[in-house]
Amino acid sequence: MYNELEAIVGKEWVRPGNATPEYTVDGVVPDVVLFPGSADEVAEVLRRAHEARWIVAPAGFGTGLDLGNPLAKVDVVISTRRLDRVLEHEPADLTVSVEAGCSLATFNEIIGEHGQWLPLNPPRPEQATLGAIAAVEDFGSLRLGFGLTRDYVIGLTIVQADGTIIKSGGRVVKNVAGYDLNKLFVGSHGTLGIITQLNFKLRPRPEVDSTYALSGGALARLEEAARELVRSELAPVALNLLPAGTVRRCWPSSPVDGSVLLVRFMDLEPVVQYQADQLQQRVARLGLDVSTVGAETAMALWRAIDDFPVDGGDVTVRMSVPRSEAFSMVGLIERTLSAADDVQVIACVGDGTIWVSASYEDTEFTRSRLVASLKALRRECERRRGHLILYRAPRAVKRELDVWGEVGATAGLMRALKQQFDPHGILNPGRFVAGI
Amino acid sequence: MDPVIEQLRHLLDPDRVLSEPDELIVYESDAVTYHKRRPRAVVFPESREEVAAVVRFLSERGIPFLPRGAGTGLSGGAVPSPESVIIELARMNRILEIDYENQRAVVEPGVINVHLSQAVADAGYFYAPDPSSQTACTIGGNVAENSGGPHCLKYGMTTNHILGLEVVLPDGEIVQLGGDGADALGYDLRGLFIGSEGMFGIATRITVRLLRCPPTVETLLADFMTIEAATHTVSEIIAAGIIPAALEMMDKATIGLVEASIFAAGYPTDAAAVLIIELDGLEPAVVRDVARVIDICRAHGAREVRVAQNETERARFWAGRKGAFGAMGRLSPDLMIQDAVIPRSKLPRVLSQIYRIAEHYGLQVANVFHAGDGNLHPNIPYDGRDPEMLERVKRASREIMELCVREGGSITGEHGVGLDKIDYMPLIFSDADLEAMVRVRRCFDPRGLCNPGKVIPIRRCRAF
Ligand SMILES: Cc1cc2nc3c(=O)[nH]c(=O)nc-3n(C[C@H](O)[C@H](O)[C@H](O)COP(=O)(O)OP(=O)(O)OC[C@H]3O[C@@H](n4cnc5c(N)ncnc54)[C@H](O)[C@@H]3O)c2cc1C
Repeated sequence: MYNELEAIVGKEWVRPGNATPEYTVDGVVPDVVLFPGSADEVAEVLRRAHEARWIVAPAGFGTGLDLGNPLAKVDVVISTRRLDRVLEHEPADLTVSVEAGCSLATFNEIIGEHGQWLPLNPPRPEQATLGAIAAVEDFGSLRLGFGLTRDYVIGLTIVQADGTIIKSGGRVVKNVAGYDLNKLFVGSHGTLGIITQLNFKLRPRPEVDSTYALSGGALARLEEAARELVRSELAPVALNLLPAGTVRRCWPSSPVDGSVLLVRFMDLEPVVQYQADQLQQRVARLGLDVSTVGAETAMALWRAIDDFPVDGGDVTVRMSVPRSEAFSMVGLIERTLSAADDVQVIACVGDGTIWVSASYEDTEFTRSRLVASLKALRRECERRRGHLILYRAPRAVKRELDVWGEVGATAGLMRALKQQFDPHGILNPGRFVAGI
Repeated sequence: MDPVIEQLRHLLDPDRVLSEPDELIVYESDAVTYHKRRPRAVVFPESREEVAAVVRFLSERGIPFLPRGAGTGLSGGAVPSPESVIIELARMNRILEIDYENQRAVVEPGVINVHLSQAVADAGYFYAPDPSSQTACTIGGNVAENSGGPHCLKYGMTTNHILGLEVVLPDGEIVQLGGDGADALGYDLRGLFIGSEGMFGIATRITVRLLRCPPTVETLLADFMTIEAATHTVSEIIAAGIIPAALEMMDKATIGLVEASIFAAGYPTDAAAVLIIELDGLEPAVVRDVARVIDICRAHGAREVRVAQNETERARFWAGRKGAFGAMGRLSPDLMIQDAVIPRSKLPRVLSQIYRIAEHYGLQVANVFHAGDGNLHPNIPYDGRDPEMLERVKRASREIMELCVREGGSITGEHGVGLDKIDYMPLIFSDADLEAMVRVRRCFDPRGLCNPGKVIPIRRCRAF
């Protein structure tokens, strides 16, 4: 196996798994870690893996390999990190082609020279490749204002499990030729193919970025404010509720007591100013305080929020509920997890995403109590037509609680897709929903 | 009497199954009239249970079928394959739920696009995808085609506004794809279904996103004495990082036709091109962008830039644009409505080559299109009774497609592939790419009964 792989990618780009701890896959040490230098090399490796039934885990920098259900074993990790070139940036078209191994931070720096950006803010953008972000469709607090990865991907190059290379979409911003396979691969968690190149549409970078903190009232009052804001003409790009305990963790220098609703605007200077004025007026009517968060503080604060949780709790979950349910869920979460340590909660109340992290003393008893609470919360999410996923958790917890939860009647369709695209089940087998 | 029709009458009421040849004529084609075939029957279900029952019945007998909305499609997507039964969804036209709190609505597939926006307008909301056919086309059809419209430049296509779908799969099973208020888990089956052109099943319930109406809207009409000046203006507006709500262009041929029709909008008939530029959002943003856009227009030699002074004038600017296809229809017996996309910075070059191609084939071409996203509609009036002329039209169309693809573009931006563009698919996709699409289809419809023969060219792919 070693020799074969060295012949394909070159001796220096094949490493033993036990010498590359950053590519340990959720506790499983792979036999080898490869760093191919081209999509053709990735294809050649997969062709071999397909024949030989090697289990392959696609990777970028290896920072997100513990997302999903654990794999039973891993033969080969294929990292895209050497594929990191921005291939074609057409500033006048606001489009770009980039290889999958480029980090989001580097990418935004490069295209930023032309006043453009890809407005996504998943955790740790320096350590996340674009390929991985697309594969897991990771996102952060800016989702409210800017949407998801799928909204920006206009084309992909995919190496399929059997080593054939396909392209989906194209390089133009509007395109309905053929089925929309971009949607199939974005968010497929490396179970259907390896993304080697992405074409994005971009946005002009906003001139001004300002954050305001609403405080001084009970949760119900903040809820009223949030409701008023989403109903108003104002267009916050992020709207995050931090309960009091979380404020202390994420924003230790906070001048206010109690829970905080953060409101972020990005736009031309006069437009942000206008919205800030409007915000003041509307919120004053509700008897809440509004304070402007200084630029530097805001930067650190958003960083803490987006890299959630502070000081990495033991378990992090992500919930999705209709946004009208977000506040009631926050109350429920705090009650349900009252026995856990260091509970942090961030609710994106504009889009219904809620992040929760908790720690527990490492005993059988506390762990199963935490798992029971998470199960209860999952049921509450499902009752609201939403879900709860384990975003980060030790294997001991994953053994007791499926990472994803039930997908229901679509499981058959999803398994059929997996079967069609990876008939030998070599790509991340078992990591995703429904045993995929 | 066809026993299948007999039994369909049994499943639905007899008067909801059409089978007489003269009743079927209307259902032979969509809005592209040169693809025609008579269906075996047309049925009108009124609920998802009826859709599922009909689909199960047909699929058990291996009889092909296809969903149909309003039949305004422009790629032959709703043209039946031999022996197909059409499942017409026009009667499933109720708005089931409006939920402002979560900015969503749940509709049946036969709801006419504009009816939804009308239903939520008083509350200050709208449904963003606005195909020019929006007073006729259905939201189910929009989902199937991933339709666009003038305002998709800023707001995105149909796929950006659909949260979830209830679908009757081709074997009659009912599933929910995507969420219904929150995100769904697993592969994005919702996204995969949107744009599948009626081949993955029948959407019976659609959860859409509603947007708040922008507080300020300004609509500009700018006219230019050369095509190049207009196209450079478009490229420059986009490159400047301005995101207009809409940025539409009409050339001299189109202006002439519009002004001679009931849609006359007061466009200057001596201009080489006009642009309709709409900016919306918060007032200070719109004020600033209007000023920047006017500057860019002037810098590129616009003769006049008019800003609509009131709602009536704004509606008039738009009336000509929205009526343009209709106006063209009057010029000649037939009209080849084309749809292609190019990178928008290439507009000046590509457009001038399109004129050259038309001239080469002795044809007229009238361009009316979504300039801001590079989505061209070079339309060619012709007389279908003249086979030699039709041949020239087809050759010119192909050359235009090849040109757009060479420039890095696509063969369709919003009308879909259907039957009409099936032969162009290999211009942009390899056999392996097409094979991957076939595999996806196989998951949704293993027996290939739902709207067969569309999108994927058969001779290239073994499957169907
Ligand atoms: C004058 C004119 C202007 C137009 N302007 C635009 C425009 O600006 N932008 C644009 O994108 N398009 C435009 N179109 C094209 C057309 O209106 C759109 O493609 C529209 O979405 C078709 O809707 P329909 O209800 O008429 O669908 P149909 O033509 O009836 O069907 C289209 C396809 O959808 C499938 N289908 C229908 N209902 C369902 C369902 N419930 N579930 C699954 N599949 C289904 C059919 O099988 C078929 O393949 C225009 C057409 C005309 C005639």
